[in-house]
Amino acid sequence: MIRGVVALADLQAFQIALDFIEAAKRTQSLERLGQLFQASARKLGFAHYACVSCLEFDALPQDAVFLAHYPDDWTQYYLENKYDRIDRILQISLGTSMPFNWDNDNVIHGRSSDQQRFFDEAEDAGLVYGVTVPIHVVGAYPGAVNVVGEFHQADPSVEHALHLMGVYMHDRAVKLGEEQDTPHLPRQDLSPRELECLKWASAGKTDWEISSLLSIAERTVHAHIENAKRKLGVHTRLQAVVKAFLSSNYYFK
Amino acid sequence: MIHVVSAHNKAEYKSYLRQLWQQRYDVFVEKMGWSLDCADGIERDQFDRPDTVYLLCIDEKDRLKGGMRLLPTTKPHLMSDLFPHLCAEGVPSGDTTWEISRFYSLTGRHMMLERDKTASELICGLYEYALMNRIEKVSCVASMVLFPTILKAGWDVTPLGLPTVTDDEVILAFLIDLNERDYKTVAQNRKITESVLYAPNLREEQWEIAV
Repeated sequence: MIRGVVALADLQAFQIALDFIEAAKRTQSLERLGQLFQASARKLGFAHYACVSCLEFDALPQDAVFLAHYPDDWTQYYLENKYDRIDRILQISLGTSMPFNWDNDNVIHGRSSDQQRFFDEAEDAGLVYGVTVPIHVVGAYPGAVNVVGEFHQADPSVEHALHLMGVYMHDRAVKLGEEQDTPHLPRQDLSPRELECLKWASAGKTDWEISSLLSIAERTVHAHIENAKRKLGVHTRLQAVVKAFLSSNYYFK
Repeated sequence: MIHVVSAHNKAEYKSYLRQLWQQRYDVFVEKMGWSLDCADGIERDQFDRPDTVYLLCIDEKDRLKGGMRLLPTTKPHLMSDLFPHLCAEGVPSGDTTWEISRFYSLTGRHMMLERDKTASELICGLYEYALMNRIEKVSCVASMVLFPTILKAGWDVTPLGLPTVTDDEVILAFLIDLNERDYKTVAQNRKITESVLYAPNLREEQWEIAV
């Protein structure tokens, strides 16, 4: 069965969008907002997302937005290579106010060789097809909300639902950012595995013990925890545990 | 200041209402290019009835700077007659739900910008009027291009259906919950610290006391 090509009725797509919107209104944390958005995007056939201000990602001002969940190594690779400088999706997004999918002529045609390589690499990372919702509000940074998955699909009701969700997602992310007044380092959600490793680390387990509990390799446990530290912007395991706890939506029990 | 014009005082605002039809033509037909069926230079339709309520922003030099139209949802209104297909689960209606339309400001290049005094007064005027008259919700249809800016204002907005393509434009029906908590936030964001409603009765009373 091919996931993601099931045509959802308008009503179903609207209900998914509405459920996200109602939950987004109530949530008080950026991490939770990201999880809610990702869960809803998944229901519409897209595994990954990014909600960003269209600015240079290595010099984001305090009031910019950067919330994303992409395959781990991809985000790091993207930032290291400063791909925001050539990202065609961001470029197109800056010039239009309506959503577009990645089979759109503007996305397909006129790629530079760098951009072609970028799309090839993204595809290798499982980022094959997406829908982008540009956000343009007078007096605010331009933004873009992307959802990305492995399968091509073009269901208008899904795209309309994503349009609605994208606008709410960006609006809520900006408002929570203002409320929390936290430094806006590029910020990603912790993956379930990273959370699980942190949870056991907080209970005093060693990498080796965690690896036996989760039936994964010890060096994989180490990598998960290192990733979590990087995402949380801290240097030690303890800091990672505390910060994940204080961000209020991760519970260690 | 925001003047509330309704069946009770329409006669006093005749010249302003004439200006309103003209300004609406300039804004919605000329500038925004809406294909509205109207006489040249005058934009007035079947929803401009005796029971229609208007919020007019009139500046200290008595100039009309912007406006908004309010219709009861218990009678024919835009969403019931022109846009029912935008609502996934029926057109909202009831005594405590009104519809806003033809919202415009002449002072800001961009509608809804926080520092546009006219838009700010109209929005805060709407809250005041609604809270005084037991209007809990207002419904509205708007372009998705404007929607992010509408959301940013800080009020509680819920979509009534999916965005829909109509005449090369993507539009959306939504409901705004006009509660006191959001009124504070919205007013703060727009640096409005006091009532914006013109209150002739209050002034007469003050005058009597002064005499």
